[in-house]
Amino acid sequence: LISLNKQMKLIEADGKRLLQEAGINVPAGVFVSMDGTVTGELPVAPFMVKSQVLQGRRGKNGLIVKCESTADLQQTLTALRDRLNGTPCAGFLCEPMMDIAAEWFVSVDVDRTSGELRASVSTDGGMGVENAVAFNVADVDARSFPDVIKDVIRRLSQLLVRADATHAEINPYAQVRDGSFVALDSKIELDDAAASRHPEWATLHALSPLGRAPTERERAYEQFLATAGHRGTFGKYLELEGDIALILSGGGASLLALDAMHRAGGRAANYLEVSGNPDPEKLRDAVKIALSKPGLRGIWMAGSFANFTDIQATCHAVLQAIEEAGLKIPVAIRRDGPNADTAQQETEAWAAAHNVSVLFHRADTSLESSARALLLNIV
Amino acid sequence: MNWPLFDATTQVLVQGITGKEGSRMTGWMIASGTNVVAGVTPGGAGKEVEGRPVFDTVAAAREKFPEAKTSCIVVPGAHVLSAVREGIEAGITCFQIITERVPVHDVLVMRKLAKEHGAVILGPSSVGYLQFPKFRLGYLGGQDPFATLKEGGLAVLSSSGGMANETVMALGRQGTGIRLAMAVGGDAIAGISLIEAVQIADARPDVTSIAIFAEPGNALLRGLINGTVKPSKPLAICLPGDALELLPRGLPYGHAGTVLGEEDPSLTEIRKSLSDAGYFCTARHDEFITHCATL
Repeated sequence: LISLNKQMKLIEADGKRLLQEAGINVPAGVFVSMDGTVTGELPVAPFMVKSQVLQGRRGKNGLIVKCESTADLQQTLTALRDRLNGTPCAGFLCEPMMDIAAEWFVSVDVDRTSGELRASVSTDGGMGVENAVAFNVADVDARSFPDVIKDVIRRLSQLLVRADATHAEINPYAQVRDGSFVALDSKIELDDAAASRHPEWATLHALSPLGRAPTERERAYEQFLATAGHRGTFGKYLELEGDIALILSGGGASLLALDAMHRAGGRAANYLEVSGNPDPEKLRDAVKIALSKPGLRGIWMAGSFANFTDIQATCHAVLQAIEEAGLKIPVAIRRDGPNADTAQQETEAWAAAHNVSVLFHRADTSLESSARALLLNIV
Repeated sequence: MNWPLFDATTQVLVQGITGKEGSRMTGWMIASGTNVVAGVTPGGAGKEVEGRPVFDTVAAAREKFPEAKTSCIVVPGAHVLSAVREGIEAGITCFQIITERVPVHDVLVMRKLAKEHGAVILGPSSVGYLQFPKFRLGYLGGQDPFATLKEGGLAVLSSSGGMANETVMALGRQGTGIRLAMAVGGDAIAGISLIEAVQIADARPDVTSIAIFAEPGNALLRGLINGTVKPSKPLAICLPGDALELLPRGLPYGHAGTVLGEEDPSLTEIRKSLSDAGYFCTARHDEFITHCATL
């Protein structure tokens, strides 16, 4: 699985592989690994060397450069590696120079308003989607674009369905002097929920979307996700700069809780969201990763009034993680739902037995109040 | 969009009834007054769950219970589309799908099927629906919702299942009556979108006002701001997400559909636009609940 914290944006080289499989013309590129290993025959010099990062504006940021001769390649790569300055990069794509006559912007994505596939087209290739005309892909035949553009829209639509992609963009889709068209860049995003039916995704490159290398704990969590199984929804773990560990439950409540902690003046050490009645042992393992961050001053387990999550089992798992981490810092739990009475009794008994300050808040204490109460307990 | 008017006589099927969640959910639904008549699990014919017969297919269940046209789906993500297809072919016209992480292209196919056959789908990732007169589909409201809830005219609509429950329970404790609550699910594409849920609630004569929990990225927000969605009833929105400013943009948080795009305005600006369009909008859930008493 390439999922890195559930983000499924593909680097240009992987995206172009999917374009090519969909019958869309791409330049004859050669992939060069970060350490400079060339995986094929380089294009005739001069050629372009393109850093395989997920960030946009690569040209402006000096991450796409011209290499004048094959002999200069390693020197060019050294300069690019310096310029990357820690930005996650999967390698480099070397492509021949092209003599361009015209550039288009073409994309197909899943339109959230209509619930259908939407095409966006503009004659201003190189610019963003804001200049594009958008329409339902089912209406492509009726549009007045050149046939070659209609054809690429149909192919991108088929690619989306077949590859379980949510977005496929070619910018620019360039017309070369001989009249033919070629995809000079690609932005493709896959649907993480469909991973189980795409074993071939294992061959794609995984890159952190954060613009920085993942931390030790983010990497550990990634390993953990690979073994977490299907029960419950283990969401993202992201490390932040604060000192209050957050264990969040419920997609909506996670946002409210993070907001509430920051409004109360606390700073989150991490974002960790786990929902949907998770397996207690897996939950304990996930929480232990978050609790291994040095310098924590408090722990907040916060979520909504659960519909079906077993509150006793989840609180028990979190307390176990705290115990195994050997932490004695203040804790607040703000949870309610099935078995919450038992959860509260057990938690209060655990707190007394382990001499740890634990506040147990039910649904009649707001997330705002719970966050403030925890911060007051931290000296 | 034709969301049915349910009551205690409405017959309901559960597809996936013999699973751990399927059987627990069936028990809770029956306890809160829903008339679950049968369940479906391939190979499960002859079994019973909570005293209800299990059939191999939806068609077999409907042969015995021809009035049952509503189905709750609790099957693994990869099987949800085929469960919906089977249900539609057997004449089911209303689905509630609790399963999370259903591929988005499967949801697009379901939406199309439903449209062609005049069916309606709540979910995937919908924790459920509840209403007065007492009736519910799925888990929404937990073990015993009607012990806390008060009857009234408010429709609670939410992209988050947990926050749908948090909201109805807080309203119940406050004494604010509700007519219905619908969790549409937090995925990027849903059978019933939050926009469609607003339209359903707005069209019902027994709903007097609307309370919405929404997350950044939901198409409803843009619709309300630019006026393409214009409900006639008083409407309040809880819209959290200021802390997303601390996190990288363009990635989903909490729910697959919760994304603050790189070019999107800040949450403060979005809330201001919603207020300017005439809606009460706050980041704080406690303020939202208090305001709902005044709607």
